Formats: sequence, structure tokens, C-alpha cells
Amino acid sequence: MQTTAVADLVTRARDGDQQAWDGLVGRYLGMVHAICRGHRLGADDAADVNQVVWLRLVEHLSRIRSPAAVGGWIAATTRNECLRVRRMSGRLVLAGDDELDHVDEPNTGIDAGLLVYERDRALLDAFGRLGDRCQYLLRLLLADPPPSYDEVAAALDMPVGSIGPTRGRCLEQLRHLLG
Amino acid sequence: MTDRPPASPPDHEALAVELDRVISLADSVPDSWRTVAGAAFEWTAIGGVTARLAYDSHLAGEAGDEGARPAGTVPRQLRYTSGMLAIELDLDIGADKLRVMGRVVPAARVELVAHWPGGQRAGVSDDDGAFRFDELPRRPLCVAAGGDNPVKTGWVVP
Repeated sequence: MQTTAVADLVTRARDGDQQAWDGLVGRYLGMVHAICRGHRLGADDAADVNQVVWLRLVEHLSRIRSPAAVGGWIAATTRNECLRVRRMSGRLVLAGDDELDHVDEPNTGIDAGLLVYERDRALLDAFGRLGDRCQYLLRLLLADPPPSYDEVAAALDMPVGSIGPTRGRCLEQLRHLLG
Repeated sequence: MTDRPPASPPDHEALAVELDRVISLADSVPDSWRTVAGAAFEWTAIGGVTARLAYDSHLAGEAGDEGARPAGTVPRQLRYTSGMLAIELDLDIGADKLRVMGRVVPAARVELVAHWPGGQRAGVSDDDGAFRFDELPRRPLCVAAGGDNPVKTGWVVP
């Protein structure tokens, strides 16, 4: 989505347009989810973070100076809220193991018919063995729709120029883990 | 918005596509997340000037006077201001219920509404400015005060 389109959504949502708000949610919900998953929050904590991010955004809309940069604000707010929740809960759920344990069970929303393929399972297994930072980065970059590099930088608190090379190294590690 | 740098080697890109497909199957966004995000927008329809959060005991790191509370509840105090008006909220947060005792300063009889996503309840403060809402659902809360200069709080997440 172009920055002008994002800015337009912010401006219209600020004026009370629910459809524009839904557009912002559609644009950034996947990114919020990916950031939460990257911080390995449990399901309840992650849902709480999602709620807080959108409640704060609706209050913040009228104060956004650069509407086109709202994605960076959402990314940074989600990241900070994840860190706050982790500090407060003192809990750490290893999401990667859960995924691998349940990939071919029913009622998980996962298409078992596809995931039973050994190749898919091996790929998920290898992904789970990547370092936390790599998993976080790749998951974030694969969010639907994909965030911009500015938004990724805000979520990861890393320079924009480091994202591409780091992604390359992470994919190289993944390729090696797959053998 | 920054453009993405040049792509990695082709084998990396093919791997990324495969990873995208597998992760999207295993890790979709829960439907409830979209519902919650959409409901947050209800706040914009609540009338009144947005009061500024002047104090939050959670942010201040205070535990409060737990000895005076019903067992199993967590206390939290907040103060919102708008011009000369203040709304003080004293929350007792239970497992799934919320009790709000508050005060309007300066003291006055004012119509109030407690809002939460998907619901609301009306009340009125007494001559001392005191009000309370019992047995609210433990959901994000906004309190709006009527009168000549209506104000509303931000979302409070109990």
C-alpha cells in the first residue's frame, strides 16, 4: 500500500470513518500479530497486546503528525507493549515448539493435508531451530500484508540498512539447517 | 516509507516463498483479533473532549491499599483532567468483573456513562461528585461526563 493511501486512511479514520479504520486494521493486523509472535508471547498475552495497540491508536489518531508513518508508530507501540507484558508477566512461552507439536492435529486451523508433507514439516522444524532474532525478523517480513522496512526497523529497533543483510543471513542459516 | 533493498539470491527467495506458505498455514491471525481491533473505534463516537491522563497508579508503580479491598481484586487509581475539571477513578479489578468508584472535581451532579466495547451504562454523580458503577464487565473502559463541557477519558485497560 502506498504511503499516500495509508495517510488517507488515517485522515479519514480521524474524521470518524469506520471503513477507513477497518482498512488500517487490515493493513497492519498481520504485522501486529507477527511482532507478538516474534516476542513469543502466550496466546492470552498476545491478544491483550493486540487490544491495547488498537485502543491506543484510536486515541492517538488526532495527534499523529505524519499520517503516512502510522505503521512505524504501530510497530513501535506493539513492540513496547510486548516488552512490557513480558516484564510484567514473567512468563515466556516457546511458541515454536507448540507449532511443531500441533501442526498435524485437527481443530488447529491448519490444513493438515498440506502440513503432513515431510518437506513442510522439515521447513517448520528448521525455522524453529533458528535463533530468536532470525525467527522474529523472518516472521515479521512474511506478515500479510508485508510491513515496510521502516516499520520493520521500528518493530525490531534496528537500522533499516541492516534488515536486508540480516534477512539474507537468516535465510542462509535456514537453508543450512534444511541440509 | 523506505523501499526494500535488492533481493537476496534466487534460492533464498524461493526459500522465503516456501517459508511464507508454511508459516501462513500454521500461524494465521485469530479472527477475534480483528473483532477487537474494530471495536476499539467505538471510542471515537463517544462525545466529549478527551481528558488528559494525569495519574495512573499502575504507571506510578503503587500497589494501593489492598487491605481495604475485597479479596481477589486488584486496585488501580487514575485521574483525568480537562481544564478545571477532573475525573478520578478508583477501580477494583476482579477476575471477570470491574467495580468503578469515582469522583468528579469540582463536586457536582453530572450525568456519566461508562462505556466498554459493545456496551455502556449510565449513572449520575451525587452532590459530592461521587459516583460508582458495580459489576461492569472486565473490558476496556471509558468514562464520559456530561454537563456544559462534556469530557471523556481514554480507554482504560483493566
